[in-house]
Formats: sequence, C-alpha cells, structure tokens
Amino acid sequence: MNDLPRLPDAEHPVQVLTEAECRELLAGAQLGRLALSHRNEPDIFPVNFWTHGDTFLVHGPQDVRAAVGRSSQHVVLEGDGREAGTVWSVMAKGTIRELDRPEDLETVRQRRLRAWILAPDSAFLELSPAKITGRRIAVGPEERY
Amino acid sequence: MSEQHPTSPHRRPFMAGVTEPKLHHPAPGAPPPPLPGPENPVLELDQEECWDLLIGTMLGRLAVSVRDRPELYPVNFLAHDRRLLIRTAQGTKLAAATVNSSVALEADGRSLHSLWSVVVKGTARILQTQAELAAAEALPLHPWTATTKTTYVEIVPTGIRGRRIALAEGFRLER
Repeated sequence: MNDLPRLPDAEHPVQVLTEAECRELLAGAQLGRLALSHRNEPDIFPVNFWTHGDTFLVHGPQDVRAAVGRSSQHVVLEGDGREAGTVWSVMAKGTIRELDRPEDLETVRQRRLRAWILAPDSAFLELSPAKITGRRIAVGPEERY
Repeated sequence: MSEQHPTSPHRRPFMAGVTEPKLHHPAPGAPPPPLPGPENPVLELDQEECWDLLIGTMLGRLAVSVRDRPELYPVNFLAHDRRLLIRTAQGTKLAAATVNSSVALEADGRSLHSLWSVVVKGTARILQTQAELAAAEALPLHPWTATTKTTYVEIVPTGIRGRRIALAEGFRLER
C-alpha cells in the first residue's frame, strides 16, 4: 500500500534499519571508516569500500595494512550519510584479511575497482561481516541545513 | 594562569585549573598550507591543523575496545581547550568506555580534491561534579539528534594524527 520509506521524526527519532536496508545504504556509499583494535586499544582509519557479494572489499593507505596486520582482525566498517532531515549510520562488524593471493588480486582486477586514493602503496582487504546493523536518526532542528 | 596567550570565546577553559596550550599563529603573509596532489597524495597534518579541523566539525565516530574487539559509535562532539567533549545518552557506548577508557575519535570531511581525517586517541571519563557539568552545559554542544542526551564524556588526548588525502579522478567533487 504505502511504499514510501519509513522516516524517523521528532516523535520516533531513531529508526532501526533492517540488514537489507543497511546493505543497500552501504552499497551506495564509497567512503567509510574502519575501526580496529590492537592490545585492547582502538584505532580508526578512513577507507574506501565496495560491496562484494556478502562481503566488503576495503581499500586504504599502506598504514591500514600494517594496522590490520597487528590488530585482532576483528573490525567494524562504518558508512553514513544524510537524507531529508535524517542521518543514517550503518556498521558492518566482522573479521578482515588482506587480499594478497594472486586469485584475490585477480578478483580486484576483474571488479575494476577505482580507488579514491592516489597513493601507490595501498592495500586491498576483505571484510566478512558477522553482523550488520544500522540506524536512521532524525536530526535536531538546529542542526538542519 | 602563568602564561600569556591569546584567548577567544571558543577557547575559554571549561574546567577549573586547566591551562590552555600556547596557540600557534602563522606569520602574516605566510604561504597557505600545501594541498595533496598526484605527486604527494598523502599529507600529514600538524597538530594545529588537526585542532582547527576538529573545532569546525561536530560529527565524529567514537571507537572503544571491548575484549580487543572494536565498537564504533557516531557521536556529536565539541573540540575545546585541546580536549573533546561528547554529549551522549546513557547506554552501551558509555558502558564500554567505562570498562576500557582508551578511546579513539575520528572526524573527517571532504573538499573538492581531497579528503581530510583526524584521529584523536585518548582517555575518556564521565563528567561528574556540578562545576564540570555546569561548565559543559554552557558550551555550544548541541545534541546531534532529536533524542534527549544528558551525559557528558570528556576525552583527554594522548595523541592526535591527521592527514589530507588526494582523491583520484572520479571521486573529486564538481565545483
């Protein structure tokens, strides 16, 4: 009947998104942030990412590779955006590995992924999500623009 | 305070006894900061540039570690007096930061041909005393969302890192 997307408002400011909605939003995003943990201390890196079947391909500068290498391999990838008086934020939580085998690099090559960063020494990684969650939040009137 | 330093309404300390660090002002006529480009795609930012960017930003992401696994939350924050102030609701975010007070906060933004990202690592604590809360209330830290938010968390930095990254063609914004 009503195909309009449900949007949060002042009475219901937080809308919990379904996994399908989360995946759709992430598929339309290009820039995100990768959080990881090393010796129980968190760190965050801006990354470029793409949906790849059920997983996500992640690209970032070289120090992301080093940080992932020494991390617990458990990561969170976040993407967000603004739409019509609301902001959405989606988190994909899972494990990550570097794409360094020849067949991996072939996958990357076939996808013709265009990295946003110009640095020659950068890394491709693959995140296998165990859980994807997201929320859409009504933005307070004073923050709208 | 023992030291002479420039002040502005935005840099008034919100806690008694806090000393502002010396502010750095570029000499008049100094060249503008360099921008990253194809030949130098990743540009590390100095601390002053990092704080300038943080002061102009209100949305960030807070990461905490729980049993060596990261959790990440979008937060609205205020950079003030070389500290970060977050206003939040009681919940998991706070619970995690109470268990492990080592946190990282990231903010980023995009301009025509580059992206900047600043990460502050530090120690989080919940503001408790009436004086601290009154001072925090007086700051222009508005809730990012329409939900009610009442708890203040302060992050005292142990490190700050920032960079500007050139965007490849196709990711650049149109003028």
